[in-house]
Amino acid sequence: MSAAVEIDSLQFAYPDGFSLAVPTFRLDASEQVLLAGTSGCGKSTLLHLIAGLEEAAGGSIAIAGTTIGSLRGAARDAFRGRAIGMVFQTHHLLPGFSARENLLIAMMSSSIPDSERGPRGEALLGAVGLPAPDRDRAADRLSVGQQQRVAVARAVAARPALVLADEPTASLDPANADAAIVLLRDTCRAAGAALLCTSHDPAMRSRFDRVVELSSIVRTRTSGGSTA
Amino acid sequence: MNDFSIVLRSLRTRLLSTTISVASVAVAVALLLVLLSLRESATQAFRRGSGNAHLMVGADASPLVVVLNGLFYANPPARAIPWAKSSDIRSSFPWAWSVATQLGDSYRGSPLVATEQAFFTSFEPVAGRPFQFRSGKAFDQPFQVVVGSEAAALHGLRLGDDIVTTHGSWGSREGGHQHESHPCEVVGILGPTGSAHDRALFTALETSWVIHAEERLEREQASEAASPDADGGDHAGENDDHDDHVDHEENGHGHVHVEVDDLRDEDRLVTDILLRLPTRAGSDASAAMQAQYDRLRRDPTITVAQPAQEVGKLFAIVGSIDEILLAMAVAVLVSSGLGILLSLYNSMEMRRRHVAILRVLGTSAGRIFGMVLAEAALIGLMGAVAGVILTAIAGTVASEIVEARVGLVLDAMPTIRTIIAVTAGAVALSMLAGIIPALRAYRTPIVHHLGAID
Repeated sequence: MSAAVEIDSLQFAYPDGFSLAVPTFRLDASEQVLLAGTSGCGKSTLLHLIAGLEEAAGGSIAIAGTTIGSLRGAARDAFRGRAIGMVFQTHHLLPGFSARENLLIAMMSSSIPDSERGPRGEALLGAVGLPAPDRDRAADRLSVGQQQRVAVARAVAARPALVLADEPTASLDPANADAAIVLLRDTCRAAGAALLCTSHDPAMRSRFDRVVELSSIVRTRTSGGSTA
Repeated sequence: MNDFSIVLRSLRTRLLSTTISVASVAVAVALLLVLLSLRESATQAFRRGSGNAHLMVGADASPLVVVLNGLFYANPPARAIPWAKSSDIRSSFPWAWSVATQLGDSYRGSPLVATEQAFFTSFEPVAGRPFQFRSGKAFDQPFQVVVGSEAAALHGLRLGDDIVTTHGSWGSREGGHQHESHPCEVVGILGPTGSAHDRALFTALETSWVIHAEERLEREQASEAASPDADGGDHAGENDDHDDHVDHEENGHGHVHVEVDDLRDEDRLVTDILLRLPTRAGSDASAAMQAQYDRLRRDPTITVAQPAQEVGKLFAIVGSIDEILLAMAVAVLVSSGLGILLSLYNSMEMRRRHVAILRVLGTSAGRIFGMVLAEAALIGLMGAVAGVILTAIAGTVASEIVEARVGLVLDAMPTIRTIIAVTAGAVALSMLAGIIPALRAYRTPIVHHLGAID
């Protein structure tokens, strides 16, 4: 079985001079890794590169065996839609759509048959503990905690090989942060998706079996020329 | 869930802005449709009514007035052609046919056309479509009338009804001297032709001639007698069968009766002559047209018109006015397009995060572009549909008002072709307006909108 993420000689530079290089990194299928590091050290940039939202200057990133840099335009978007789920610091549910609809939209790019999408959405929302009456409410009317649950369920809705979570606990208090990480890990495990989670919070380290310091795999450089 | 349901939801989420945009398109479309349909129906009413006469001779001052009065019954002609002159004209060339009409009388405001039977057999109110009788037949003797379809409906006339005609007073239901001594019997009702003839009633030339000859004699008698009550004789009860009365002039201040045989040439006035030149089968044009037109024009006592040409001239005049109106309607449509542009563009500002999420969830930039364009197109389509409904309502009301005030029957509903064209135009314009917001959505940088909301 191919790795969930396989990075080789990745190079990236922003126009403002910030550059990032990842000689090698591997995340096995179904593996869960915490990518730790301080703010502004390139965690989000790396996740965006893996998701194909930023264009690498060199090297390659393979997601479940597919080199994302080789896909262009709509093909890359569709691939991201079905192979990668994303969870953000703020939950980024589609406003004006219910929790149920947010999951159905996430499944639009997947190969899941239409008839199974509804039941799958119900099952996932049940699994993350969103009460049935709240599933038809507009996502922006749900509480922050409920939005977090929906965001986690949506990340695995399309049966992705990989879930990328960018500081998912940054806006939560410690107790809720703990619960959120447990939910995220349990949900990914149940869905068979690998999880790559970033956090600057040292308290999160104890929650993961494997913790990778970003500084150990990434070389960043700012326009001043200093190396981090 | 699919792209289309996302588009619909987006429209519903911005309900107020969507409603306003749709309403502005609806108003513009309705305005355009009403103007177009009024123009269509006015053009049609005129184009149709010019009929299959090649030439028309009258005594009014200008060819346009001759046509408007003689074929569209705008006003009673001011002057008539003497019998000798009209006989000369009609025998001066081997016309395919010639028909004389005498206008001036009315029935409760509807024009009464005194003419010949050939008016129904040779003249076609709409070229290629002769008069059809809905019931009854053409008049075959004086004091019988044939009623146009709209006049019949307006006055509730049926076969066998007796009517009393009035001297002058077109377009008004009161006033005018009533020819009470000569009621006319309705013997035929015409089917609709879509022309001005539908508003008219038709009778034999002799009906009009006899009535006016009697009136002339009465006036003469009155002035001879110089008696103030001579003209005021009560005609009531005397209006039975005129055939029984052969007496010309009765005693003192009595009533006069004139028979057809007694008509003098000076009574036999006509106001218009419709002429058609011989043509080859299948052709409407005649080689002799210009020569005959020029020949008749040399006579300064008459006015010659080519009805089709005069109608064309009229439209050249009216055309520039309605082009301005149309341009204004199009301007309203364009401004509603700008409204759509503005509202979508502003909503794009709010929706950049929304677009970024959709992109992360697998929606390509091209599909996002299409969704915004579809949103604009739907606003245009809904606006156009609402505009068509608005037109149907407003147009019906407007045409009823026009009919009641002016007596002009205008079809307020535009043709299907116009509706489709205007709808397509509104949708195309809306999509055009959607391009800039759609491009903005297309180019939304995803990663800038995925961070924390700060």
